[in-house]
Amino acid sequence: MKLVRCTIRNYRVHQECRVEFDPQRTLIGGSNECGKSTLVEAIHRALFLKAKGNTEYHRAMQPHRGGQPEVELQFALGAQRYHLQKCFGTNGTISLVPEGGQGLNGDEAENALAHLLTGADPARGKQMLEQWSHLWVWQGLSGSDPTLEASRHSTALFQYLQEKGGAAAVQSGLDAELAARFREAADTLFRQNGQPKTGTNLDAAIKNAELTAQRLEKARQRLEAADQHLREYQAAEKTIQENSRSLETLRRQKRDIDDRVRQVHLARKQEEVQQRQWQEVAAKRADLISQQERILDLETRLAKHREALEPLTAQESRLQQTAEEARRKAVKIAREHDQATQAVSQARQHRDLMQAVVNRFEKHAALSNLTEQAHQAEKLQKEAAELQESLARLPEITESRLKTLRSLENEAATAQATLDAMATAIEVVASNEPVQLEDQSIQPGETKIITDATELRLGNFARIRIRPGGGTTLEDARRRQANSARQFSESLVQHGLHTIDEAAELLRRRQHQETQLTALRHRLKQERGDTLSSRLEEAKAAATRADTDLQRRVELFADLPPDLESASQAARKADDALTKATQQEAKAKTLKETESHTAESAAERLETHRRILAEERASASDWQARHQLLEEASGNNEARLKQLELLTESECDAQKALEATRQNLDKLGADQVETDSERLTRALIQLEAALHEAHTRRAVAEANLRSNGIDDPHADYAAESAADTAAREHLAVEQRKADAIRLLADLFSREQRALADQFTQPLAEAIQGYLTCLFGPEARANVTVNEDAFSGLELVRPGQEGAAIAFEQLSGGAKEQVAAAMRLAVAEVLAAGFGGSLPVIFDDAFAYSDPERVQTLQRMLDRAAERGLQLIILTCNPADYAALGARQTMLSPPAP
Amino acid sequence: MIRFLHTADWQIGKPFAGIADAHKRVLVQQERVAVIARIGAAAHQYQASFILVAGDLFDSPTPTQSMVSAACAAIGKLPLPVYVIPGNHDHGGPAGPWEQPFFLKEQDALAPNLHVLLEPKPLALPGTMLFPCPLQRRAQSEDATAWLRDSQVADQAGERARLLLAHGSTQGFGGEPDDEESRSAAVNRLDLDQLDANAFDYFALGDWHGMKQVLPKAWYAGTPELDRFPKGADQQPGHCLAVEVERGRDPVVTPVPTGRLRWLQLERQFAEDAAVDGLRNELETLLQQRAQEDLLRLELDGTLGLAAMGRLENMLEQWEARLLRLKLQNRVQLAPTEEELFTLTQRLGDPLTSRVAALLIEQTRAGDAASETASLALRELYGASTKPETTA
Repeated sequence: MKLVRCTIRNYRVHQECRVEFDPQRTLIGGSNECGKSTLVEAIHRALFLKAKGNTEYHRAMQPHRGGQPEVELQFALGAQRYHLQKCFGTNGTISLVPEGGQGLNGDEAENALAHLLTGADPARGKQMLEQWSHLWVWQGLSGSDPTLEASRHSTALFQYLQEKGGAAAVQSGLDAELAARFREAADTLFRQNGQPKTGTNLDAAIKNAELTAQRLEKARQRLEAADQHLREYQAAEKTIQENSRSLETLRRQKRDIDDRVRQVHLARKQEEVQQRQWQEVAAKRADLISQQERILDLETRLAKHREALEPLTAQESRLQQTAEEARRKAVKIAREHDQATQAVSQARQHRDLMQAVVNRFEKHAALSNLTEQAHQAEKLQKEAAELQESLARLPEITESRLKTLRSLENEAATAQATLDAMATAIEVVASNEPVQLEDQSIQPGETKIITDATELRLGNFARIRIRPGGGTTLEDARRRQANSARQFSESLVQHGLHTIDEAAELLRRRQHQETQLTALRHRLKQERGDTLSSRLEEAKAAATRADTDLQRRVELFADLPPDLESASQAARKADDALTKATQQEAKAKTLKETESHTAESAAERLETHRRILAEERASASDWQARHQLLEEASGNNEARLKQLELLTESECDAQKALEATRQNLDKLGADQVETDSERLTRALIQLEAALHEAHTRRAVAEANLRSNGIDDPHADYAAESAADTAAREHLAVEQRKADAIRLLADLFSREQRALADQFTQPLAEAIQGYLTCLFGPEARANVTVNEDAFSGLELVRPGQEGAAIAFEQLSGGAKEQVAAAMRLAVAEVLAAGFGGSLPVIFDDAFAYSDPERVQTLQRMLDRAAERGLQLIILTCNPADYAALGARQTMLSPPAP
Repeated sequence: MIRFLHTADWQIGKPFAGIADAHKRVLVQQERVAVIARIGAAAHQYQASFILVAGDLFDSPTPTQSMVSAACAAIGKLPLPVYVIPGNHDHGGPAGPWEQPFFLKEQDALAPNLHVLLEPKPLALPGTMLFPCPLQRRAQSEDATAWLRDSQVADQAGERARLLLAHGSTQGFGGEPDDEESRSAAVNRLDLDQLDANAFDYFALGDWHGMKQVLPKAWYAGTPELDRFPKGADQQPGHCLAVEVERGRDPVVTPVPTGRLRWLQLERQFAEDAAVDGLRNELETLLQQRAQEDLLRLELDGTLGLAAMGRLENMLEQWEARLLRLKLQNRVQLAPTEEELFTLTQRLGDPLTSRVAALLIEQTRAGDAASETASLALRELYGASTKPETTA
């Protein structure tokens, strides 16, 4: 079928538009909104919408400027041409006239047209839009999945494909039903990943098998635990039996060993006793030997001491003699010294007497001298006392006092003079009235001197106050005069004077007497008159003492020198005698001391020697005592030797006994026997502990073995084991059932696919023919057939190792192109039923394709044209399709 | 002459864990207690003086209190003494049931006639002397009868009849491992040849669940109520033995049936699809109108077509409900018939289904684990393609 010519009138924007179609390639250009799509729609409505009607489609085509929409279409179906004219609306008309044939109108024409184009009755409602949708690529729908459109024509396609596929048979209804049923059953059973779905028998069987396996394992563990307890019980039981036997043996061994241990202990004690005995005997013997040695030693020492004593004793007597001689000589010398001492004493007495006589004389002379001096001093003192007395009687005037007196006199005189100068004389010359000065009446003619303020009363006539000197000054002068006069007179009275001259005389006399007194006193002082009395007393006492002393000595001596001189002479003589005696005495004393010392030395030497001797003797006596003691203790030498012999014998016996005991100990294996005993004790302890522990273990195991009687682990195990086996068998059955279903589903799918592949091969090849124009020689498309529909359009591009890309995942541009390829292929396949050709309309169908791809598209479009299809391309860019070599028609924009 | 009843291997408390249905499991468990009353009836019938239980009275060394109570109550109702030795299942010692306080309490309270012989020590009874050989452990390597090898021990009995009571295997006979257990054959062996055969008058043995005379005077009583599918027809489980003994004379032994539940076994090989219907008839005859009184071990082999396999499965489902247990070993291989193969693969109108069926048939022939899955898938496909209205 090919479109030849089309005229539309009063169709939306178009008042009238006429287009001539090229049998192969027509390019309709025109700007936007010039009505390109409207033109395409109008042709589609002419073919598939009934003329008569008031559907939304009818209303939608109403013209903008009034009038009835009308489409006039000429098309060719093979060699036959048709003229179709439709006026749309409630009273729409149709005329279908085959060239050279009988024209049809009304429903007859509609039915004829529908059968001509689709082989069926006219489509109703929306179905109208789907007619030839694989050929009408509406603006904006070029990228939609073309398999949907292809499916609408599956019957025709399948018919053709089956013819093309040769022997390939289409699946029957039963085939499809069984395939669907098994697929559904398999999908109910399995997930996409092949695992069974929850809730299915298989899933339940798997879960049940897992559960029974777990329960079986638990039951097995329980049984195993019971077995373990039994093994523990038996092991403990075995241990108890073995250990009990071992314990018996060990105890027997222990008893034997303990017997031997006791023997060893006894032997050890015996050994100890014997050892002690042997040691004691040996000690005694050694003691005796040492004693013997000591006695011998003592005897040697004693002999030595005795030897030493003899010369010492001889020396003692010699020393004693010497000492005696020295003593005697010393006594004699001492006696001589005593005599000398006595002589000295006598000489001293004599000399002292003589000195006393001299002294007496001297004292008495001093006394008389002092007595004279005392007389003189008494006279002088008497004079002085008199002078003093005379002086004392004179007033005590001194230079300064006289001077004071003189000044006081001057002062009084001055004050008087001042007063005198101030005094007022009042003289009553005549008066009839009594004149009274103060209390005194002054008679006329009487003169009164006033120095003070005085009231002068003239009878009752007048009282006049007179103030000499103007008042106060007079008073002061008077007071000063009175004071000075009083002081002066008082000073005179004080000194018992009458006048100042008298005072001067007195002073002179006092000074004279005082000079005399001073001279006297100086003389007294020179005469030591002050100490004289005491010295005199002393001299008296000394004279008395000298008297007394002499008197005392006189008793010894009869003759006394009569005077001082002879006395002094005698005294000198006596003195010399004394000196001589003293010298003799000193000599005697020296001698005495020498001799005394010699005697003392000798005595001392004797004493020392005697001490040494005594020590030596004591020592000897000590050794002697010791020796004696030893001898008393151990008897005499003979006894001792006998004793020694006995002890030596005893020691030997003791040693032998000890040896014998030790040999016995060796024989008993003393060391080993104790180790053995310890070992056995240890072993017994351990064995008893082990036995005890085994008893405990047995008790524990026994307690564990005690059944609660609630369930029977053995029966449970058997039950679980059977349940597990049953579950596994059941699982195997379910698994096999499910596997069988899956196998069926898979086989059906596989065979369905194989069948479909065989089926769709011509279509796929047709698509591939177009795709290679676009994507190169290796490009191909996959399309699958499911039941009666196409689906699963995929593109395999070169260089992608056969990896297919689903249509939905292609880019916008690629979608347009692959969809175009599919549409062209379907159209090519279906064209066979329409006289080898079908129009394919692309309304702005490659909006997403870039200019470069649009160029390669033209190759594909050209191939379609070459293979019999009528291509009608509507575009606002006709230049893009310049290389297609199409017949070009430009639509003008509608008149405003 | 002394009469007594010899029994063993009561296995009270056996879990029967292989029975998935809890209610059925309880029914089978309860039967092990119920049989005690039947043993009591046999004792009465044969005027027994006492009952000897030669070990494994309990199935487990740790029975629950409720099992212990049930057993004691049942034993206590018997009007005669019951002498029991520990077996390998209910061995002596602290890990066993006999020293547990709650057992001792229930024994005292409910079963004063129950005497547990825990030690290898002669027990004098009027006219007889018991020589118990208890097991102290689950697996005992030493011979429990070893203490009787000294002939002086048996001579203590004097003129009394001498009864040996032991649990274990003799010369290849013994409790073989059942479904749930396995055991080494080297343990719990009783070497009766080591004993002076004339020293004893009867050997009351336990452990072998079938009834069996192993020596002129030695018998396994077997279990009084079956607890497993017997192997071999000569086992004769489900009995106890009524025994008459006298010193120096051979014992007179009379088996007394006591079992109630049937443990059936059937093996079939399918050669053709019609055999499924044959099996149905056979089972109907075998079980008749009984329900929950039988246990069946069914071993199936051979090949079946898709439709026959489906029928078999439906049938087995029905039988499983009626039986106390259906222990099935189904080794039947799927072998679609020519018609089925044609139906599946030659569907010209359904090319997809045909191709899938062909692929599955190819996979079923591989003989590996995947082929089982493929086989199942093929049955699904067959079912779905022939009955498209039902869902897979």
